[in-house]
Amino acid sequence: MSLNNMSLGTLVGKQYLFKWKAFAGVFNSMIALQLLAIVFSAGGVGQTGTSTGSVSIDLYYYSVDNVVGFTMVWAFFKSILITTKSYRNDDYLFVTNRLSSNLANILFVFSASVVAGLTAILSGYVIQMIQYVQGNTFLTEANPLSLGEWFTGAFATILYILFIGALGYLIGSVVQLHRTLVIIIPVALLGFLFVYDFNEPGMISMFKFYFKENIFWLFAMKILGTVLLLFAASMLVSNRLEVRK
Amino acid sequence: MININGVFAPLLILFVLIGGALLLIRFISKHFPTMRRKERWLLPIYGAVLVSCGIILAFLEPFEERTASSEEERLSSLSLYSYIESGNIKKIDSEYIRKEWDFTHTDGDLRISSEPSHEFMASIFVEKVPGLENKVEVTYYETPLYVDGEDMSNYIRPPEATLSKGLLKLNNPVEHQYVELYTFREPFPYNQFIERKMVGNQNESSVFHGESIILIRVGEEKTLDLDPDSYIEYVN
Repeated sequence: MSLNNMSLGTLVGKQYLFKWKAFAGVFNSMIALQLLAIVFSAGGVGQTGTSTGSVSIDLYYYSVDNVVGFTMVWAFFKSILITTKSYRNDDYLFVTNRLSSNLANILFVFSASVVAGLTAILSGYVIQMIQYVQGNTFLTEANPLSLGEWFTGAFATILYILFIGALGYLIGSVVQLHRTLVIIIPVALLGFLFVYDFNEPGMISMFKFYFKENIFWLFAMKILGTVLLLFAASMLVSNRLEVRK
Repeated sequence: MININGVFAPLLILFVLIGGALLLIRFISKHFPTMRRKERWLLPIYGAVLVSCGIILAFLEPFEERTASSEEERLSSLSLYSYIESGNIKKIDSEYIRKEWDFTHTDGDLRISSEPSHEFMASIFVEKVPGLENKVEVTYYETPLYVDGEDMSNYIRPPEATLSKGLLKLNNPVEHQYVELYTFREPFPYNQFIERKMVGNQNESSVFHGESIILIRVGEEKTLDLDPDSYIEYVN
């Protein structure tokens, strides 16, 4: 038993800093995935063109959509990873409880999403640099993004990654309840993908709720609200775990 | 802005990026011993490379700015054929004249052919004009060809015309022109909140074909021998 009397804030802060250092390796996998997505984007993500007699014209599109997509996949699995037993046992280096451990994890997921979102967006410059090095005729938007639009898009990207990360954290927490869930949950998710009719009105309205919202602050409220609910659910689930389970 | 558009500029940039990354690794290893493990320095290096690429691109501005047209502009593009059919060729705005050639031909006979005859890049029309005498005027008209709102005309080489030994020959500049352009589309989280149309984010058809016409004007007293395989038509 420890004689130290620490406030929750101090404890969470210390655990967060520890996690930031201890989990630094997860960013290597993020970098590897983003580089892989850049390689996959090397041939372009779309193309349009026409051919008239002796003239063929092709306009190739490049984008960081692949990088953002891969980063979301990374965020999902990274969040599951930090709920696993080996990562949770690291917390016992500190005077800790479930609440502080979860809060530190949530802070880590938040900051990792910021890093992942920003690097995903900035990777667009690498794609453009590759075009320049190859000597291709690259056209840029005549009416480019304003600073405000750039930041709005960057925040939206971060929020999407955070959303997927929070979802992964909940699934990771649920899986810890019982070993069999390690199999049941992925199978159920895959089965859901095959069986569920995504044109069903409920799914369409949910899709519109998040992805068709074009007022940024409303979108941010929706995503942050959902993320809070997901994290709250994760905390409730993990509170049901036995000590060191 | 500095304009380094030599052959070696891209190689120099690669060298600077790789060299800079290596120097940064050495600097971190030397001055921040706690960051010796690669887990710690890989992310800062990666971030530094991404930011450096952004700074270099902002500094060089190596790309061409799109001159994307509005939908109204594309739909209002005029029909050169209707001007030809109605005989109002002179009313065609000079902005659609892409190239002009003036020749002098003193013989009474003039042969005209195109190469390749079946895949020549423009429709050919001939007009006999009183008072032109020995002059042969060749004018290449072109209305824009839009791909995703971008006017591609500037990337297409116009045909070539030569007059030699009584033969006016129209040629494609090369056997087949391949124009490849590249552009960057903003990622989906950006397009969700941008009301104006950005590149590659248009719902309507992205290709608008223009018209290409070569008009040959000769004196009315000339006798013309038109290559039957070249699809040459008289204006009147």
